[in-house]
Order: sequence, then C-alpha cells, then structure tokens
Amino acid sequence: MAHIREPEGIDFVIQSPPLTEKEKKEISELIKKLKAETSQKRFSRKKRPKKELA
Amino acid sequence: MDTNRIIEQDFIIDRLTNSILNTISGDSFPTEISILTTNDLKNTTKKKGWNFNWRSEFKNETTEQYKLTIVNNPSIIQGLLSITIENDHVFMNLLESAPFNIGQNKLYEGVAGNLVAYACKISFQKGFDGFVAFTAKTQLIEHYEKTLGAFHFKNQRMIIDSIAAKRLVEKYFKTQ
Repeated sequence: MAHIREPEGIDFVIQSPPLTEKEKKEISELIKKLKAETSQKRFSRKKRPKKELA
Repeated sequence: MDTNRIIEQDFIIDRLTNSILNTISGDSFPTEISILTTNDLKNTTKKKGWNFNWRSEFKNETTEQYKLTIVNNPSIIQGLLSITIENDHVFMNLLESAPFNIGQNKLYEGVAGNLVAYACKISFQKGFDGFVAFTAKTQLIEHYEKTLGAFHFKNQRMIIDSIAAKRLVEKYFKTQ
C-alpha cells in the first residue's frame, strides 16, 4: 500500500474557518465548472473518430 | 439529540485496511478509521499535546469527527479529522496528527494523507464525485498542491477535485 509522505520538516495540519454562505456559493460554482470541464473532456475523447487514431 | 449522538458514536462506521509507515522500522501498519467517541476525548486534550480542542469540536453537531488507529491497537489515536457534509462537497474543518506523529521525530508517516484520502472517500460515497474543500496555511498551500493534488482557488481555500480525489483514494484504499 502506498503512503503520502509529508515533505521533510513539514507537518500537514488543517484548521479551516467555517465557510460563509458566499464562499459556499463560490465553491459550488467552481465545482459545477470543474465537473462540466471534466465531462466535456470525456465527451470529446469519446467523439474522436477511430480513423484519426489509425 | 444528545442520546442519538451517543448511540451513533458507538458504531465503528468503517474498517478500512489502509496503512501508515513506522519511521524507525520502515514497517507498514494496517489502520482503520472510525468515529471519535466520548471515551477518546480524554486522550486528545491540549494537555496531552494535541493542538485543537477536540472536545469542543465533538460537541458541534454539524460536524463529524473520525480517528485513525492501527488495527488491533484501538486505544492509541494516530490522527483526527473533523468534516462537515456540505451540499456538494465534504469540508475538512480540522485535521491533526497525534503529537508523537509531528516533527522530525514523528513515529508514523502518512497519517494526514490517510485522513485526507478518507475525506475524499466519503465525498465519493455521498455522491459528490470526490470533491473536498479546506483551508490551508499559506506556507502549506504549495505542499498540498504537490502532494495531494489540491487546487488553490481563493485566499487560502483549496479544493481537491474528482481526479485528485480518485488518485488519493486509490493510493490508500486500493485493496478494498
């Protein structure tokens, strides 16, 4: 099994202040955008004609 | 409300055979992640070297807290995670390795990554496509980008997207 090693001298610690409503909306919009980009990439990969690959 | 919470906390919700690495022997130890219980709180105090107030976090009913332990050694907590389930992602409120897993002489490596991967796994289970958000200290942003594949989008806020989340989950939970 693999591990994610912290860089030397670095300890990963997370302390997040609560999200504001504005930030929640911004994150949601970003997630929508990223999901759309990902599905667009998948779609264009699937649409590539086989002849081009030959 | 409190009664419900205590009942829920008695369940071990997951037994994942991931692992952490002993820095002295180089051996890998299988770990499991379960819900933090009232009994655990006496060992996760500031007096015992923990940075955050886990008792206070435990009382916050909008958050869920998880502990990472080595299999067959459930009394020694290796790291803690607090998350909130948002509408479309998992938000990591707090993440901390045990005091003996911090600094140059840390006993185990991989605790934080293991817990982040678990947050990603929950995100997939909730139907959020692995999306996880959190806030990073300025000096750690670059490290999170490199090691976790997190995406820095505003101020110190960061997001782990589907691709990075999938990579993390596969890295830790490949044998599931």
